[in-house]
Amino acid sequence: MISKAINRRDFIKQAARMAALASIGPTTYALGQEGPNLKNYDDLTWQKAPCRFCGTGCGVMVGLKNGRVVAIQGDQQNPVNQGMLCAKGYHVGAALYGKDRLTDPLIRKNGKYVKASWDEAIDLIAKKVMKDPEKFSIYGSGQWTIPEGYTAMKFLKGGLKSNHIDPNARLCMASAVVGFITTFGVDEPSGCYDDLDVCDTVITWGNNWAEMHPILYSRYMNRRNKGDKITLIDLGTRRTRSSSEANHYLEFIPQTDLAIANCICQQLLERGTYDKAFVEKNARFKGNDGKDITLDQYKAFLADYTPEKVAEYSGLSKEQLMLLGDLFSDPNRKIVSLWCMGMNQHTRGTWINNLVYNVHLLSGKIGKPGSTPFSLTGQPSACGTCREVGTLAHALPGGRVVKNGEHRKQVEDLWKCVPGTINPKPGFHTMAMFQALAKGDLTGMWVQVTNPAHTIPNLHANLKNAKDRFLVVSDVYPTETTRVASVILPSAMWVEKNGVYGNTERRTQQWFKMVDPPGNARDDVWQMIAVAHRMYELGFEGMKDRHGKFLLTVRDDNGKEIEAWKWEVFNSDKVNIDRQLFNEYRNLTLLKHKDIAPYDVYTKERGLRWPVVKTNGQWKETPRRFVEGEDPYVHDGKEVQFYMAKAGDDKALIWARPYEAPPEIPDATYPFWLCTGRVVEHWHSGTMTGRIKELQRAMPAAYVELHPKDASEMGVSDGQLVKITSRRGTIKLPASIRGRGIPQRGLIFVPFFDETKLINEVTLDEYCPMSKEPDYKKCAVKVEPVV
Amino acid sequence: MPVTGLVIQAERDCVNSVTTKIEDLENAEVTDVEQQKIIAVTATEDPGEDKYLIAAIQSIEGVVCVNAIYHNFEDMEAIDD
Amino acid sequence: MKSTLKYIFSFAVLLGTIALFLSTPEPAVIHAQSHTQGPTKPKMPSFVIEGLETRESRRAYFTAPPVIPHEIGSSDRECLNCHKNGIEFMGHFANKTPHPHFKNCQQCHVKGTKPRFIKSEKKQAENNWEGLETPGKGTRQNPFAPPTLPHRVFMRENCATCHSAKFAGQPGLPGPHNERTNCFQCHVTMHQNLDSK
Repeated sequence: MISKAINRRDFIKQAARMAALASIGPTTYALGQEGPNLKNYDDLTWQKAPCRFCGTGCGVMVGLKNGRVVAIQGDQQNPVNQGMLCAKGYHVGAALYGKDRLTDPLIRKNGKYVKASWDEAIDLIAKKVMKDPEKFSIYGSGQWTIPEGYTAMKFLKGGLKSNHIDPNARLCMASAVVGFITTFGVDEPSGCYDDLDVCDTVITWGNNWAEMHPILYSRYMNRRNKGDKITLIDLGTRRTRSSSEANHYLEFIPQTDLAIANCICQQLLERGTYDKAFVEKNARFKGNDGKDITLDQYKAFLADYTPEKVAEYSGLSKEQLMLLGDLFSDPNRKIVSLWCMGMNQHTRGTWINNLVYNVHLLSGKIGKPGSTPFSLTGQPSACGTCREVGTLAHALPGGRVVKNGEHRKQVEDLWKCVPGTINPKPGFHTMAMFQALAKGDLTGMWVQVTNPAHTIPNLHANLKNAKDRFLVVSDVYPTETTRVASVILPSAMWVEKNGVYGNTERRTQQWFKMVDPPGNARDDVWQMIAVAHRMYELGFEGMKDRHGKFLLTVRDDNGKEIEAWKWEVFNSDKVNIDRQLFNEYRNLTLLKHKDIAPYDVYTKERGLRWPVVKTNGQWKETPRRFVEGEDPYVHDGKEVQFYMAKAGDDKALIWARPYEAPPEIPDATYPFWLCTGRVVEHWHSGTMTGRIKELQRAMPAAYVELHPKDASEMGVSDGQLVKITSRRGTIKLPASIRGRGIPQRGLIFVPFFDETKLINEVTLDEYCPMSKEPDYKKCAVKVEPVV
Repeated sequence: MPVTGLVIQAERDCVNSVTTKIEDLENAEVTDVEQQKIIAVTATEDPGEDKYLIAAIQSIEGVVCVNAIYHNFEDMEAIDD
Repeated sequence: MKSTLKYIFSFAVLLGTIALFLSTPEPAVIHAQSHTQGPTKPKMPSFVIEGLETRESRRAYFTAPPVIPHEIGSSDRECLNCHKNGIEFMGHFANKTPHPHFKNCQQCHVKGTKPRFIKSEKKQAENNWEGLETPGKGTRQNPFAPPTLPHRVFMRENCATCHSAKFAGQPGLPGPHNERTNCFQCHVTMHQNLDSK
């Protein structure tokens, strides 16, 4: 025993003894024992797939045993995530096994859903569509695979001569798309994830990437462990997990991001620290009215955006604004700007996208490793499917538009349509589509892989009368949308079918079917081909190509027709419909240099970033577009070449976009800003993650974040019910004070995943006039404690 | 004055003989015996001695292996003991 | 390349095994018999079984990131206060994280219970998920060889996290020689490459 008079040496000897004793552990555990229920893994196999969830596009390895998914691991060979995953990715396997998976077609008869055969459902849909093809629409998804989006395009634009097809990506990436096209002449980022490995500064513009793109956040922040001196500037309207490790959290008043970006540009020009040579060579200036302007005229426009002036209304101080100016003025600093919904879901979303490009163009921080404005994508294939296949009301595959006669002809020739088939008039964009459905200008809609009755803003107005229309819903679980459907089609999800997705950094990733879908669930591609073929059988002219053959014919490599509308053929191991569709679509990707490789190449790769061009016999991907040496379409000696510029002069456009106040601002009656968004545990409307035990348990219900001072002034404590009311609707939610997010004073935040708490009954449906994307981040509400 | 805490794994039938032989060594004492594992603490005058002592323990018949878990050493001049 | 490495590993293991026996004056056969002889194989002690069950209850499947079995604040920095080096505090054990270089803990680890501010009891998710079960021991090349790891090493570089004397509030999955710290000298993994093609 240690006595009071212990000397130093004895103390150390005691320490030595205790350490040694502690290290050996309980030695009653002898060797050679057996334990209960422990199995070995003789029958476990692993296959690659991109994750089902966000636009990061992590690679996962799916563990398969006895025809079921039993485990998920991060794919160490995938350069996106290098073996890492997030909580959703680790638990994605369970998304297939919720107890109430849809397994049979259901048709609503006399207010009740009655089980039907596929033949009956297909026949009913075909006949309904044929009756009123001009008023039928397709609402698709950024979670569609590329072949699914492509089939929908052929069905509607080729078969029905209609343009009423739009994806839910309209609600998430449209502003980014129009931003790209107005600035660069072509969609999708020029940078890639590798820029995060070599930059020294990241500025997030209203983006909570620690929860929404956690892999990318960690990829950057973990560089600190290696000793990299890196800076994170979090520009936001509320403190989030992403703010906690930032060097600076800069809190701005909603919508003033427009002014802040202009202020940085003003400082660059005022100080003369903009990259003169770069701007001279690679950019020119445009007024907000579309007319060309000079540098001096642009400078004059920026006179309203000095730090003094912007500090008055943006919430940022003059010093903070000048800090941003300092960062971009530093020629040695490598800056990546990141953004997602904060900038896109914005009534001037296109403008703010243009403005961030302005900042990077003026400072020359684009087209260099580690310096790039990088638009993050929300959904796993908003890029790959919606944007590249062009599943939009005005678009055609490969960056083409319906307004362009040459583009229409190119697509008609590939599809072998009767010339003049494709309608030159753009159709309804998403918000217009639902408003038309409510009014009766559209009588039918096929919804696939998305949940509009939960996610469209201002639900009461925009989903009115949906139940009276002919609504076909292809989904995997009962949702708010299936509850108003006329026909519900049980669908195969993720690894229950072949698929191809395209992520944020232009990486196209392929996977093979690994397990069977439950019950009678079938692939979305098959569903569309089957309905199209039934229409063809019934004599519908639109479903005939120029030779009178079935328009949606899928052919094998020898040109022989595959009877893909027959499920037993489609589903057999001998055919891969995905492959044939993908290889056909491939032909359309060359026009705007969005080249993709043949399908078989992707089966062996962990994705490839387009343009993928065959160089010296190898399929070479493009990490950074427009950059000499990386992008094969850049001419020698050009360094950076924006070769898709509309005017053909290789110059990106710097647009003089002004600050404009949002349509609904807090006032005396509705004094709070309402912002909505996600949390790491849940994906979108929670139809999948809400059925995954670990995720649902960790975040079972929606809540409202309040600033602690606002809460105490109202007398609201943590967990107390609070009533939120806008001009459109009302909702009651428990308060979270000092939780993972702390909004600024006068702002509240509500996550939208909870189907029993539809915050979209409260949100505003005003949208950017250029992109048509609604603003889920700003509207005016009043907040009262529920007593 | 280096002090080292050691875990010595002995052959099942040799635990007692190994314990005795360690005790016989100068500057080494056995503090605990847990089945086949013997905890010993050595405390020598200088690091060189420490090395030979541990080697001596390793070469005792019946010793499977010796693991050094804890080691304390100091500048000789600073000791006030 | 990988198969060559595996070859080298197995060879090294074999050499290591031989070296082990060479270090003892007794003939190898007695060494082996002392471990496997006996009419019945001894059963696993209950604390190990309980430890394994606790582990399984916190994971959707073997090798999934465990859920956080206790209340947490809102900051990620708090996690490493206890989990950076491991700590024992008032009967609770926080084991050392096997991947301390990752700082965004809640990226993968979600809470095992609902947030404090959600007072209502929402219906739980009903799911038929059957996760990969905890494996038995890794295979051995021969009865005297060191067992291979029945799990990947990636994200589990610190063996002591699970195989030390204490973790998870229960005595852990102790091995027969925890005092030896250079585990990878002898033990290799069964599951290095997940590619089945």
